[in-house]
Amino acid sequence: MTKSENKTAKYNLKSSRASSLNDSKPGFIPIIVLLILWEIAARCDFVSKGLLPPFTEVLSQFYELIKNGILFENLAKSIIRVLAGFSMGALLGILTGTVMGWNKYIDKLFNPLITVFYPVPALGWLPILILYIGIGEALPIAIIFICSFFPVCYNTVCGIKNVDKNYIFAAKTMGASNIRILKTIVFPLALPTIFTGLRLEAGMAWRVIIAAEMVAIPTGIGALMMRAESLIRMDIIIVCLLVLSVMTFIFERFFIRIESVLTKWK
Amino acid sequence: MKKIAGLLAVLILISACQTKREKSIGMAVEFMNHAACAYVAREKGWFKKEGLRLSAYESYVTGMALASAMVREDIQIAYMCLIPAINVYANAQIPIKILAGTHKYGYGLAVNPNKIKNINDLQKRGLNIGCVREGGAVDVLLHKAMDKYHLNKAKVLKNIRRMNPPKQILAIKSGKLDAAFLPEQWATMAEDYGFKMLLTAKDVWPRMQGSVLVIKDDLLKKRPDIAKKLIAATEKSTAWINANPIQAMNIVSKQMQSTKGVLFPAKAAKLAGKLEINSKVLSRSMNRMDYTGNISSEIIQSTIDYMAKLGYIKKSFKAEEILYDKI
Repeated sequence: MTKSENKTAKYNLKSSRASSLNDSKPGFIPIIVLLILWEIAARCDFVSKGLLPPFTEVLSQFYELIKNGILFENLAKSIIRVLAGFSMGALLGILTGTVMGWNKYIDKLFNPLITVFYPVPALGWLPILILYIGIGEALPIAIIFICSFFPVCYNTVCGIKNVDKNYIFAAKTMGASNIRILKTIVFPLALPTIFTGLRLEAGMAWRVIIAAEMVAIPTGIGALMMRAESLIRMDIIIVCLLVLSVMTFIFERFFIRIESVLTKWK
Repeated sequence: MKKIAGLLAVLILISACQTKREKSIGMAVEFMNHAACAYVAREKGWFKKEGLRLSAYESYVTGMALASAMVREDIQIAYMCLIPAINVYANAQIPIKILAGTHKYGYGLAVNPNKIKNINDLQKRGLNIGCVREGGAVDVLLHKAMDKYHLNKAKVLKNIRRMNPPKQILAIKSGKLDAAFLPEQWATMAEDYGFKMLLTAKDVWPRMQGSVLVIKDDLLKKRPDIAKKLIAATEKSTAWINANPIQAMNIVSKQMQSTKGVLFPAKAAKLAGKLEINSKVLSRSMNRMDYTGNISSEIIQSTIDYMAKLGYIKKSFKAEEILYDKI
């Protein structure tokens, strides 16, 4: 390949990656149209202002909640819980999934357990966990851990198992050790599947933490929503929902970005 | 042809009138003995006698659910605690009017006497104190108690566990709570599980308004006669409760599904179905409330101001805005 051909290939790769990222960016026009319609509907009293406050009033409440520190105080608690539970669940999920995908004996041992527990919704564990670990900081972290562990583990096992065996045979023929094959061939090839699990569960972790905080925990964004609900403060509820939506979006985007960096070879 | 058209017009008119007459008005009633006067008026047929066709919804879980039901016009009249009524007006911005009071007081603090000897003990570390969510009547009473007895709010609030009254009773039964701020009849029920009534609303907040009868402004404008009729039925009912406390208790207990002398309040929530209230408890609980239709604008104003001070409503407003001016 000549130098100019090489440059063209690199350019094509960059532009195709950029266009694929652009394609996945959300279109802002429908959102703006929705916000305008919302504002008009509330201002013209099509809906009770108390139950659907105008978007501008929601923004002003958002500012108030930031100014008095309530939003950050609760958001920080939710973020810490999500980060702690998700990182533990995801790390252990990747580790267990890799071992299971690589070693068929360990897979046979753990697969029935994963098959049984994976379909149980994370919030289904809540009543048991309340009894076992009580209502405290450990509860939401444990729920997020469960929510992340099983899907990430399952995806990792699938990713590792689906790696083309010819690559492994070729590496073995050339004398590569098992660890080296795992590290340099199998794991990188399994990364896209692993990241699919991570990306989906990063969003799911936020949905689950909100539900857990609404049910049992007195602090965090979910608890703030419950307080607002009992005071019939729809503006605060909408602020919380918007924050939740943004956080889920940021977490999912973060993993898309990391994936695009780690799987450049694609 | 003209005759047929005329006949059709008459038929349409009659059926329209029939539909209009048959459409009943949705009324929300708390599933507690706070709403005794609504239960008595219904049982005695006083609503019907006044020409009111009401369909009662006996359980609404939250203020938000009630507010949405009021917007949808599923509910246009409600017997509810004053404090959620102020929330509906100020926060949900639903125009309502308070027609009458139904009782004063009706809330209390029940404690485990082995762990809590006096009010200052609520500040102890590691206690579990049950209370309903922020903005509920009992929660406001909790704040009043902290103010009145100069308690350290941070210390007390750290011990608060938010849950609804039936859950609090279950938690008391299983030894998970050391104290509970509860509305009646739940507060008196807690005594049956070994708790002691440390404070009642009467001690904390003299003349505290319990529940009120509210009506949506739209309905009041459309049918101004309704207000008079509802007030009449409610006043007749409160007077009858005071004159016949045992019969009143029997009517309330009947509403809570009486079976072999044991009452199962299963309609409020599935959870409540697990709890039993005997008629002695119900009677003792009803004795702790002053059933009266009288309502003072002064106490309504002080409640509104206090809620604004707590930040539960954005700003205070005049009690006259929410009070029916012909009371």
